Amino acid sequence: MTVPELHEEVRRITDILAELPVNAREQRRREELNKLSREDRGLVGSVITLDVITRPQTMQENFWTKNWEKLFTYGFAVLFIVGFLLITLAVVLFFPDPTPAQEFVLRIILTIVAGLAGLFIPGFLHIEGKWANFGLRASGAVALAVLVYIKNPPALIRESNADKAAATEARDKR
Amino acid sequence: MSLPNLRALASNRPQDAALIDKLDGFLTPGREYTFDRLVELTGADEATLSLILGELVKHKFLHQIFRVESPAGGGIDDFESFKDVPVTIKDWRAGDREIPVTSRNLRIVYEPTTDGV
Repeated sequence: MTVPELHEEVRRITDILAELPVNAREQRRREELNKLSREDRGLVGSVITLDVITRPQTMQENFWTKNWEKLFTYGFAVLFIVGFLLITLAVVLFFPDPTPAQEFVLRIILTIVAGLAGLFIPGFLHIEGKWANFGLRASGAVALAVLVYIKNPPALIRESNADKAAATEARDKR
Repeated sequence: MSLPNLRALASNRPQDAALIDKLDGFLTPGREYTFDRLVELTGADEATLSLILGELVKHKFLHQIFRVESPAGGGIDDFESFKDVPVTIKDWRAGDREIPVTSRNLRIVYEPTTDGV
């Protein structure tokens, strides 16, 4: 075996051992080493020492301990997004004509939810422009949040409703 | 060597106590032993022997060297750690020819020390 192949073999066996409970590793190490040629066995065995096979931080790492932080963050974000979307939906169903204050709060909630959702959506979004005398430049999740806030969905709906009403009125007059 | 700490190591691994005693009996400070030679001398299997030798290296009973040997005979260079062993090496014993390092020309050499901890 070449040196890179020996390193790869060490990594392969170490990975296998990492998935096993500590008390099963020594036997498995022996089995894996016995699969190698005599000259490779000593070299690989000298690197996979007792320290390596009993090292708790690498050996005891299962999926949960390795990823708990990520899982917790993602889980919390998903719960937050779904929760607030349901609340928003409920509010809209029960209060179809929100007051300006209610509308403002809904916009803020939707902005936060959009920003959070943007964290999980792959791809790249970049916006640049002017808004209310301010120069604006945003990317990614923030861009999505800014877009939702600026485009003002409640106002869009209201405008669309107003347009429909005007069209109906015009048709009625005719 | 007969160091008290080697006895302590043997008591920690009763299943390998006989092997540790055997090593203790013939390892002489100042001499070099290749891994293959130790396999011959102890009659132990490579997996167990490498584990015990690793412990002896950790406790500084042994100094471990990775030695690249020339196909023409003799060592080319020594490395303290497996990580330091290069993929290829210039064989100064054979006209500075660049040769790949493989398990065929890489030996582990152990040298007993007198200062185990």
